[in-house]
Amino acid sequence: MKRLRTKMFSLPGELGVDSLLRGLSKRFIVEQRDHEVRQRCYYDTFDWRLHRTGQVFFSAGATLHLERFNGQQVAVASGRRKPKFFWWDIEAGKLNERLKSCIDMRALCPVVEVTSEATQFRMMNKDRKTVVRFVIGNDQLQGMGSDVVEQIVVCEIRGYEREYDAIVELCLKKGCTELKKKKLFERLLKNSGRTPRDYGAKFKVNLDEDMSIGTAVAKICLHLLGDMQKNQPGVIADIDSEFLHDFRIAVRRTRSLLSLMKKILPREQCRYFQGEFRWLGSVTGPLRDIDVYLLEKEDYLNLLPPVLQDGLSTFFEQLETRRAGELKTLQTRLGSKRFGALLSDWESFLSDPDSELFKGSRGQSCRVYADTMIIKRFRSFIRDGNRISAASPDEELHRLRISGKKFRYLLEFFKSFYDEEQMSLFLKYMKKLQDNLGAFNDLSVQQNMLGGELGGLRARNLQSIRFAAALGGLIALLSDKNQVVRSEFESTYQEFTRPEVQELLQAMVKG
Amino acid sequence: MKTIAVYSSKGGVGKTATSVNLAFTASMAGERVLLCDMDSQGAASFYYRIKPKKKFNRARLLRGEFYEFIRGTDFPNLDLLPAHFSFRNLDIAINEEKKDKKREVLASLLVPLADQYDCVILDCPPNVTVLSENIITAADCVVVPVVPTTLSLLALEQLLKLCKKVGCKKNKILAFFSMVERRKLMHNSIMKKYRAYPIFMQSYVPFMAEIEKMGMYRRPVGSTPRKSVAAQAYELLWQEIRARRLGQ
Repeated sequence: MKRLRTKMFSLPGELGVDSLLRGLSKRFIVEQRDHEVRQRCYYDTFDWRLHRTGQVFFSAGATLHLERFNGQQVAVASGRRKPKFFWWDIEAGKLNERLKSCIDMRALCPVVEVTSEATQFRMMNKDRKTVVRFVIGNDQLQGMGSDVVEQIVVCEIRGYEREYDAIVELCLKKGCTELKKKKLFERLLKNSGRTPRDYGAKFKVNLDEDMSIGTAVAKICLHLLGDMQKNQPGVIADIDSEFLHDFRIAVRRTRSLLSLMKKILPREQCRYFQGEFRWLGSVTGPLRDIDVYLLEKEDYLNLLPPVLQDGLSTFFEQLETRRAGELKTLQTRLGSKRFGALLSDWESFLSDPDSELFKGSRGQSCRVYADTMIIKRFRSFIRDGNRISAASPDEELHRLRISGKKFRYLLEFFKSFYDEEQMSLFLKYMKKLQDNLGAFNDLSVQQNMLGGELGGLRARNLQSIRFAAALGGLIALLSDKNQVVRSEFESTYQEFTRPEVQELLQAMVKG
Repeated sequence: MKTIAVYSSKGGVGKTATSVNLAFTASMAGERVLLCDMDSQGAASFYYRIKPKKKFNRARLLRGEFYEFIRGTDFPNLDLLPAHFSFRNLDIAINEEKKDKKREVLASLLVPLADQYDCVILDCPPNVTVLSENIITAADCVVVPVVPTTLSLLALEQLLKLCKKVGCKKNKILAFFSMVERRKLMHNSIMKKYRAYPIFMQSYVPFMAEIEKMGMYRRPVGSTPRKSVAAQAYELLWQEIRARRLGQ
């Protein structure tokens, strides 16, 4: 079936609304509906997940809307504006489902607030059936009286194509110019001071071929520092779990770079920052661990048969309480002098022209250094991987996972030096292996954690017995899964070490 | 996509009023709704002020060439496939199909609409023909308005028999009392006796001038700014259908 068309026009200054309506009334019965003044609040996730998929979400009065950039409605539900929305805050239905698939665990936060004035008109045929919807209105940014965007919106109604065409033609004839909804929305965003997609979790830093090591390290680390600073307010305000997740990734990447480059970086400073970022990783860890369990609550419950599910509810209640305590501790840590000093020391180390970072051997070409590092790390990764057999202890797989992660970060830091296509293909192969290793690690960590819970339990009442039964059930299931993942390692690893994958890396580095 | 047929072999029980108002209520709840006016009288189309396009007819419908004849109503999320006078012989045309396909003609016509709509509501004509068999086969839920009178209950019994004949589960059928006049002793006693049966919903729609006046104003009862008693009755009915048969 054909998509319904919507067109927006701007009204030329010299053309009055009355004159346009007079023209329309020659062919249609024109009826003015209520004049509405509505506050619209537009939302998106911090990493612009809706904008990236060409959608906008807004609250208007008592309803919540999800629309495409062209104004086409995707889903609507009842609900009023709130400081933030998760998909599960919205009543069950299409909107809730669509948001679940688009934003996952992220919160929708207000991006821009607009006062919309609209007068609806119905263009009717002789049966007084509406054949085209016609709206004259304007959008005004909250607190910015001067920027008023006047517009006409013409909406097609299914089965009345000719009537729609006639109105569009008349608008154009009267000198109206077409407006694009996406552009209008972007203009509103621009005036509000926000830039769409100004943050994304994907790492992307462009380095020049002739950049020195010091300058390249500074550029990468300043980018990562920026990510930490951008996410820090969200962590403190506890907006959603991903602020902390992204914050930790930036810390982990920084630590990884420091460790990869420690031989070439000034020893004393490198040791100091490594220690401080290790501290930052450790203070942010406990809260993230709890978040991971809470995010997987549904999956855990679904793993268990209904008779055991009840036992887990206490576990999750306890986790929520523990989380509140951990959050408070983290908020204190992120407000501490130590954290403040780390950020400012790090920033001056990276940006001060007199910094040790730009002296000595750090002046040599980064590209050459990156090439050598990549080949060296890859060889060491393969060496470690080849040593693993079906009888190897789990720890060896965990070590391989960490070494693989470091290697992938290394590739990502310097990916702008290499052919984009080759790099993304190689990262795809790498990801497959890492997914296997990651799943193995997650399952082992989860089993250990649940085992720890079980060990600390005292069967004082029926509730603790139920909890113990649920934990036992889960551990057994996770252990089964773990065996499966472990058994898949060999074939996944073999696939990664195929000659063509190695050749791909060689070709990429040689350029 | 869920298909709801509003059906009774008895005329004048409020099938069209139910279809028109349920479709409106569902669309206001955010569902993308298509109301199919299967009754050649075209009352549902009349209520929504929609006339069929000139090229539309029964043959095109049966060939599956009807998408371009669907028209939007005055309300967002609510489209209507208008009735055509030639629908009066729809059952005869379906009867000419091959024996093994005869009961699934309507169901197969609706399949391609699944991407476009969340809910299809069929306003059915009052008869017991091969079209009725098609309707029961195609529907996920058959909503039956029952006026609290003996003849109307007989029509429900007849439908249950038909269900058995076509091999459909009885739990597809959801009846409710329609055009209820509380001042009438017979209405009260019939409702008291039958409402406890699981086939009956607890919501009912009273007899109201406002529903009768839909013919004058040509719009669903819920479309006025103030929510009327009739509109509330249809809202409750829709919620119960959703909860009991649509798994929502």
